[in-house]
Amino acid sequence: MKKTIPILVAAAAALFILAALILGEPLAGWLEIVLNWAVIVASAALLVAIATLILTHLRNIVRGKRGFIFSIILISTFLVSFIGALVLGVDNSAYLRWVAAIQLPLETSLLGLAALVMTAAALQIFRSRGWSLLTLTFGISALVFLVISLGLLQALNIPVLTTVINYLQRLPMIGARGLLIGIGIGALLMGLRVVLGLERPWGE
Amino acid sequence: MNGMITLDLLALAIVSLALLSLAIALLTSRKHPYRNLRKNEALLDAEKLMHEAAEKGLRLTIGLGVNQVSSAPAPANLAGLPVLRLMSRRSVFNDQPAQALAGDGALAALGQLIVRGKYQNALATELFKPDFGLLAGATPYAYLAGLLPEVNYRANAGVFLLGSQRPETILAASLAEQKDLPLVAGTDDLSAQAVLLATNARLCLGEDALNAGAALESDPGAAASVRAQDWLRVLAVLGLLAGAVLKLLGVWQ
Amino acid sequence: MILCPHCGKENLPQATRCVHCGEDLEELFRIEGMEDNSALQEEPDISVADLLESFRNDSSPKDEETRSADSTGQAYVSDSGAESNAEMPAEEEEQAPEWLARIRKRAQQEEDAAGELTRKGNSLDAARSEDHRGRVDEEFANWIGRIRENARRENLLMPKPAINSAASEEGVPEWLRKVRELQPEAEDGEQFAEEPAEEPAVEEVEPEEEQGEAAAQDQAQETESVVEQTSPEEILGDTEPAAEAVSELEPEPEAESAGEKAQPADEEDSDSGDAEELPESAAAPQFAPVLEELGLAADGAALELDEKPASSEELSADLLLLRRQKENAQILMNLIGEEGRGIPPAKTQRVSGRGWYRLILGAFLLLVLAAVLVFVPEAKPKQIENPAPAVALKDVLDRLASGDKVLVVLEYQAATSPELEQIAAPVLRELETRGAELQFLTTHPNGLWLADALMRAAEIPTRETAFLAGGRLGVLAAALNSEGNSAVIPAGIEELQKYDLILLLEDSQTDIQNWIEQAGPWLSASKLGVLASSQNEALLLPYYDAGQLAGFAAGTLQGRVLAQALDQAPLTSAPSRAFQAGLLVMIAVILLGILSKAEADSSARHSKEPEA
Repeated sequence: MKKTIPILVAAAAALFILAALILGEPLAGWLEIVLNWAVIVASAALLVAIATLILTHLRNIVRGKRGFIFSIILISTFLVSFIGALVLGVDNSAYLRWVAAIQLPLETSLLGLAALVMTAAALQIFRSRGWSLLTLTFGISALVFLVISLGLLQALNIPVLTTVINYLQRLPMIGARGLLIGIGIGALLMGLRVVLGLERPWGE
Repeated sequence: MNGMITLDLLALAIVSLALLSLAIALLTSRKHPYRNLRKNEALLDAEKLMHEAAEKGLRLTIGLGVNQVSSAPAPANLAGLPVLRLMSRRSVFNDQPAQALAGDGALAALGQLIVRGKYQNALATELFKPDFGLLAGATPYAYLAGLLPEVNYRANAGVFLLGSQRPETILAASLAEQKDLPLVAGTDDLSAQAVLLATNARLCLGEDALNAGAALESDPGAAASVRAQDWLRVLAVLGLLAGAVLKLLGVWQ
Repeated sequence: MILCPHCGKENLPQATRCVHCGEDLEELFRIEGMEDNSALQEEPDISVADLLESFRNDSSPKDEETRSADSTGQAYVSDSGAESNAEMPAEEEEQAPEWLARIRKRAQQEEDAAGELTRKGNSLDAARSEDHRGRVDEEFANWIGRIRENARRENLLMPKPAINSAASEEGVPEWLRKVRELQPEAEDGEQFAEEPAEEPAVEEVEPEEEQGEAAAQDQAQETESVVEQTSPEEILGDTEPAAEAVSELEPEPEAESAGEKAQPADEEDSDSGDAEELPESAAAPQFAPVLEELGLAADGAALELDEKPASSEELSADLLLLRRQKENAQILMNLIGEEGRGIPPAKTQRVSGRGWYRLILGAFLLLVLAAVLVFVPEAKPKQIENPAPAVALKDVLDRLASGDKVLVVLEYQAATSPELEQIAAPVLRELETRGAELQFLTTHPNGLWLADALMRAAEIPTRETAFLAGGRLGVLAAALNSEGNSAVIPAGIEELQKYDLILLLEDSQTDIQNWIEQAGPWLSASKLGVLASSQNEALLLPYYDAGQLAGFAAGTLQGRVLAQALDQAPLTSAPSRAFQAGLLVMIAVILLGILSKAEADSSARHSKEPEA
C-alpha cells in the first residue's frame, strides 16, 4: 500500500494534466489549482533540501570535520543574505546591488576558468580520444565555426563566401534537430513510464 | 484555434503511438528484456567502476544535474536516478558509500529518498546518513561550486555527471581528469555534450543518457522504452522523408 | 585403521567409539581368551599403583604380561588338567572295569588317538593362542606407546602457562590463582579448610572455590574416565608417595586437579594439559621424576613457545585466552565498533607534473587577451549582412509601435550577464525609444538583481521585476492563464496572449525549451523572440526554422549587428577585439593539438620500425 499510493498519485496527476491540456476549457480551472499545488510542493522540496544542507554543514562544524571553515562561511553568508532580504526586502536596490556585487565576480570567474579549461581540453582532445570520426569531425567543425565567429570573412562581403557561410551556419541545425527529436522521444517515453508506474524516481 | 486543435490531435496521436510501442515492447520482451539491446559503453564502464570502487574501498560521486528553481524535475533531470539507485544498492556496506549531489531541491529530495530506500532494503537503516544525498546548490553555478570539492575528495574512485548538466560542468570534468578519475557523463544539453566531448569522459550522447536503466540492465521498463524509442525514431525518419517528398512534389506547401 | 564390528567401516586405531555408527569399539580391545580366564579375573586385586609400576618397569610389560599370562594360563591349564585328571582316576578307579583300565594304561603309553593332525591342531591352537596373546600384548604396548608419543607431541605444542614466581613465592599456587580468576566474585566469609599437605596459600582461597570445587568434582569424574583412557604414566606418579599424595589431597586435589583439568579436559590434549598443570601443583615435586621418566617436559622446561597465554592481569574473568586470540578478539571488536563509521580514506597518490601545460596555456591566453585589451584599439564595426534569424527579429521589433506591450523575460545567470547585457541593452534602448511598454519578468531568483543591472546598462528607467515561481510549471500556468487570475502569476503580469512580443533573454537550453514547448503552443509564433548567448545558437535554429520563434540573435557578434541594424550604438565596453583574440587563440590551440597528436603518432611509428 505504501508503494502503491505514490504510483497512483503520480499517474493520476499526469493523466489529469494531459487531459486538461487536450480538453482545455472544462478543466482549465482545476489545472491551475493542480499546477499551484505542484509549484508549492517543488518549492517546499527546495526548502527541505536547503535545510538539510544547513544541518549537514552545522554537523560538520560541531564535529570539527575537515574543511569546517568553509561550512562556517556558507552558513554565515546564508544567514546574512536571508536576514538581509527579510529586513530590507528583495526590492531594495541597495540589497540587490550588494548581492550582485558578490555573486557576479564569483560566477564570472568560474565561467572564465571554464574558458581556460576548454582551451586546455582542445589541446588534449586528440591525444586522449585518438583519431576517430567523432574527433575529426569535431575538430574540423570547431575550426570552421571559430573562424566564422571571428566575423572577418563576413566583413569581406563576398557574395559567394556569404552564401557558403550562411549554408554552413545552418548545418548544425540538422544535427541539433536530430538530437532534439531523440531527446524528445526519450523524454516522452520516460514520462509515459512514470504515468504507468514503470518508472519510480522516488526510490523504493 | 484550428491550428491548436490540429496540434492537440497530433500530440494525442504521438502519445498514443508511443504508448502502443511501449506496450508492444513490454509484451514481446517480457522474458528476455535485455536481449539484443544496443549497449552503451559508457554505462557499462559505469558498472565496472562501481565494482572497482567496492574493491578498493573508495567512493563514487554522482552529480544529478541542475533544474529550474522551484520547478518539478523534467524527464531529462531524472536520467541520473537509475544509476544512483544501482550505485547505492551496491555501496550500502562499502567502506565509502556513494555521494549524490543535485542542483535542485526536488532532485536532492529524490536522491536522498532513493539512497534511504536502498539502506532500508538492506536492513541497514542505521548506516544511512542524510549527507549521502545533498543539495549542492540552488542555482547552476552554486551547484558547480558545491560539486567541485566533492570531485576533489581524496578517496574518489570515479565521478558520474548524469542529468541536465550545463557547459560549465567542464570544470568538474577537467578536475576529474586531473585527478585521473574515470568520468561518466550524460546530459541532454547540446552545448554541454560538446564541451564534455573535449574531455576524457565516457560520454552518453543524445537520448542514451535517458536510458541508464536499460544499459545497466536494472529496469525492464527502461529496456522496453529503448525498443519503443527505436521504433518511434524509425517512424519519425519515415515521416520526415515522407514530408520532404510531399513538399518536393508540391502536395504540401 | 581398525574396522568397526557393527558397520564395518574404518576407524582410527585409538578410537573407542565408531565415528560412523556410534557403537563402542571396546570389543576390539577385549583380549580373546582372557575374559574366559576366570583365574585372571580372580587374581588378587591389582592396585593402580601396582599396575603403573608394572608398566614403569624397564622389563617389557608385554613380556611380563605374556609371561604372567602364559604362566598363569599354563598354570591354570595344568592345574585344571591336573585337577580334572586327578578327579577322574579317583572316581573311576572305583567303577572302571578291567578293560578300561587296560585302555588307559595303553593310552598313556601310546600317542593320542586323535591323531597327528589333531595334535598339530592343538599345538597350533596353543601356539596361536600364545602368539595371539603376544600379538595382543604387542598391539597394546604399541597403542600405549602411540598415546605416549602423542601426549609428548601435544605437550611440546601446548603453551606453558607463565610461571608466576611471585605468586608461588606468596604461597598461592598458579593453578589456584587461575581458579580464582575463573570465579572472580567472591563470597565473603567462606574459606577452604586447610590441608596439612597444602601450602599456606590455601587459606587465601576465596570461598567461591567451593563452587568451583563442586563443579570440579564433577569434572573429576570425567577426568577419571580420561585417566582410564590415557596412559597412567602421564597422569599420576606411580610411586607410593605419589599415591599417598593423591590420597592425601583427595578432598581438594581432586577439585584442584579437576579445576585445573576443567579447562583442558574439554580439549583433546587434556592429558598433556594435565601433565603440564600438575608439575605446578602442590604435589609437583613428587611427580617430577615420574614425568622425567616419561619424557614429558617437567616444570620449567626450556621450551619457548611462540604462543603464551596472556598474563594473569589480562585474563578475562571467565575465559582463558591466548594472547593472539585476545588480539584477534580485540581487532574484531574494533571492526564491529567501526561498522557504519566512515573510515578515513587512504590518501590516493596524486600524479604530479601533468598540469603544467594547462598553466602555460592559461597564462598565454590571459596574456593575449590582456595585451589586446590594453594595446589594440577598438575597431569600428563593419557593416555585415545580418543572419536571417536576426533580420527576422529586427523586423518584429520594427513592427512595434508606441504603447505596445513587451514582456522581457530574464532567465540567465550572473556569469553570462555581461554577454547578454551587451546583446540586450541596445534592443531595450530601442524599445524604450519607440515607446513600448516594457514589463520585466524572471523565473530565476538571480533575475531580480540582474534586471536592475540590465536596466542600468541599457540606460532605461528602472522598473519592478516580477518573479514567476515554479519554473516550467509557472510558465505553463502563465500560458494557460486566460482569465488573468492565476495564483502563480505575479501581480502586474497579464495574460501572455495580450503581449505583442515576449522577448526571452536566455543562456540555457532548458529555459528556451520550456518557453517554446510549454507556452509556445498557446501563443502565436510571432510573439516569441530570443536574445541568447552564442552557445545556444545551434539549438535555436531548428525552432526558428520550424516557425516556433519569431527570430533570435545569439552571441555578441549578432548582437552588434542587430544593434547596428536598429541604429543603436553597441555598448562601449564591448571588447570585440579581445573576443576575436580569444577565438584566434582557440583556433591556434586546436591546430596545435592536431599537430602534436600527429607528431606523437609519427614518432611512435618510427620507434616501432627499427624493432621490426
